[in-house]
Amino acid sequence: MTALQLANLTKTYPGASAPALRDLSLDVAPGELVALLGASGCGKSTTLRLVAGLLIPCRGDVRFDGQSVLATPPERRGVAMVFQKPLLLPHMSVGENVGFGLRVRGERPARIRRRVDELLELVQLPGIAARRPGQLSGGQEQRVALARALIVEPRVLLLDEPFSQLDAGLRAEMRELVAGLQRRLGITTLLVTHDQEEALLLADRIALLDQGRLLQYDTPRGLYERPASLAVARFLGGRNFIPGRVAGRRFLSDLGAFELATEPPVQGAATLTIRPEALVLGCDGPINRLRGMVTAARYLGARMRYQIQAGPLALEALADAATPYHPGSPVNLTLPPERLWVVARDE
Amino acid sequence: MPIGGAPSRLAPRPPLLRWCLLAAMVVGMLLPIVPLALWSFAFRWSFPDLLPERWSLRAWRYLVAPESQVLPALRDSLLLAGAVTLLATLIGVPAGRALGMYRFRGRALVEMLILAPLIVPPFAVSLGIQIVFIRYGLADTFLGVTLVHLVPATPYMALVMASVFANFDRQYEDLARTLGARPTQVWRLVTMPAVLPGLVVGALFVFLISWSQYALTLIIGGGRLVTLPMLLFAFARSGDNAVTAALSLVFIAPAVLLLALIARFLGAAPAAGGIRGL
Repeated sequence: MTALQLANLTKTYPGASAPALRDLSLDVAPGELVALLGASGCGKSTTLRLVAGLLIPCRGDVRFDGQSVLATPPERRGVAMVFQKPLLLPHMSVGENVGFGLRVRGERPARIRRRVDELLELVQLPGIAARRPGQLSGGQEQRVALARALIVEPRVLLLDEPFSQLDAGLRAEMRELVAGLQRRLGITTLLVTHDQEEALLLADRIALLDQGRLLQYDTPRGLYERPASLAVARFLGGRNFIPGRVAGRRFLSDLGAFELATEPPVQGAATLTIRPEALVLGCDGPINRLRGMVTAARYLGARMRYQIQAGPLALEALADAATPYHPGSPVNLTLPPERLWVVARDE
Repeated sequence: MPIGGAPSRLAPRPPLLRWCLLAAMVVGMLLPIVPLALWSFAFRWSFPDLLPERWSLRAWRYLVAPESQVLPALRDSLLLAGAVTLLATLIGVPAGRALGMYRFRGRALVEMLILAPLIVPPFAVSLGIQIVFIRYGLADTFLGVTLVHLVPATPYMALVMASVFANFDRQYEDLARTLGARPTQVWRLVTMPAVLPGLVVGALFVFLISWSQYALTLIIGGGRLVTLPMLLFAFARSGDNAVTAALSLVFIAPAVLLLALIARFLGAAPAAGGIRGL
């Protein structure tokens, strides 16, 4: 298992005005799966190509187990990459595609055949080595692409949105397969995705990138529940933002004062945030109460989503669908102190 | 797009029409060859007769005889067209790759310079080229003629390859690199198989351009390098219809043979970028 370290990586493409990646530093522990999450153009694919050696950084270093690999060409870095598209070579059979990495290393044909069979079994497609790529479905193609990457026993596995072109059912299946194999084989893995749900589901840690900058590097729970900034909270679907300021363990706003469970990391002008599902509707708590008016209610199956007007603020709440509120009805809101989070106001 | 307007264009042609078109193509290609074949075996063939009055092998015997110079000219034509094809491929493939795959400063200018020999007839500048070649000792040499044939030939190769590479997904190469393939292995196992149909078609163009070149060969070769088109002109002017017809058949043969050999690539060429559309 290989530890991956990115140190102050910076990349500016020729002719571009702004760098695609600025000063990115990440430590990935051996066997860890780290998701690079962000909107398109945030630098996540650039990062992957820098690690693979397909791009040379302008500054900074890529280290495998503490050793710089910048001078190593991609074919000797010991990485393997799975792309958005399966990219199976159409002039080769499925088996030849899977065995490609061993063939270019000069392995004996008999050993290649044995390993190809093993790997196809591993991705749950036994016995299809003789088929042509055109005879496979989209999901099968992507599994073959995964087998082709794993056959070289890479030190670092790079996944570039490998599920984004599959439909929902297949995507869930592929995610399970990849997560299971990654843990079983213990391969240090970087997963590029723009899908926060996918990152939360699969990653040990998530690096959230925006316009080439690292916004936060944390566990899924840390990122979701303790965002470091308003931008992180927004990216992960935060809806409720209450402006005000911090005074010790209290947050003062136009809607009144809120008790906080712990002393927040910032003081002074700040923004209070709470997840829609953490807002408690109906019951009258002793503290942190608000009065509001339901302006819209949407049925989501398991839950209801409400838009609630509280003073000058529009809040969003997710609540059990059993006893719905109707638009226009008043509602009591409680903001449990342990679910509140304060971020610096960065606008 | 008007509703219902488009599908009719996409509908498969009925088999009868297809067979008629195929037959028309075959007849169109073969019909001009029939009188040539007849002439080449004719001893006397005067106007109103449908077939020659008397048959003879004279023309064919003459072609293979040393005094006709046909066999050495055939050899030189093949060597010349072969060398031109090889060099045009070596220049045109990388040039086409650069034009088709990369955006770079001055790209439009490079594109125009590559197209220039197709717009300005090489014949017009060949006299200027000849003066330069005389100075460098290239006039009247095989190498000199090879180089001047490259002027009209290379643009075709570069343009064909540019369109092929424009359809080629570079991620295939990235993928192969990360899987451990050295650059030479990437070319041999990934890129070359993908661009091969286009490459073969381009090479055929180039071969035929060189094969049928008359003026450039004459000016730069100075009559020292005798190729088939030059002999063909000479015989055509001499008025010996039988020998001219036989030589014409020899001249056409390589083109037809090559076309037959690569026919399967022609269909694949438009999709040549092809590693499948995905």
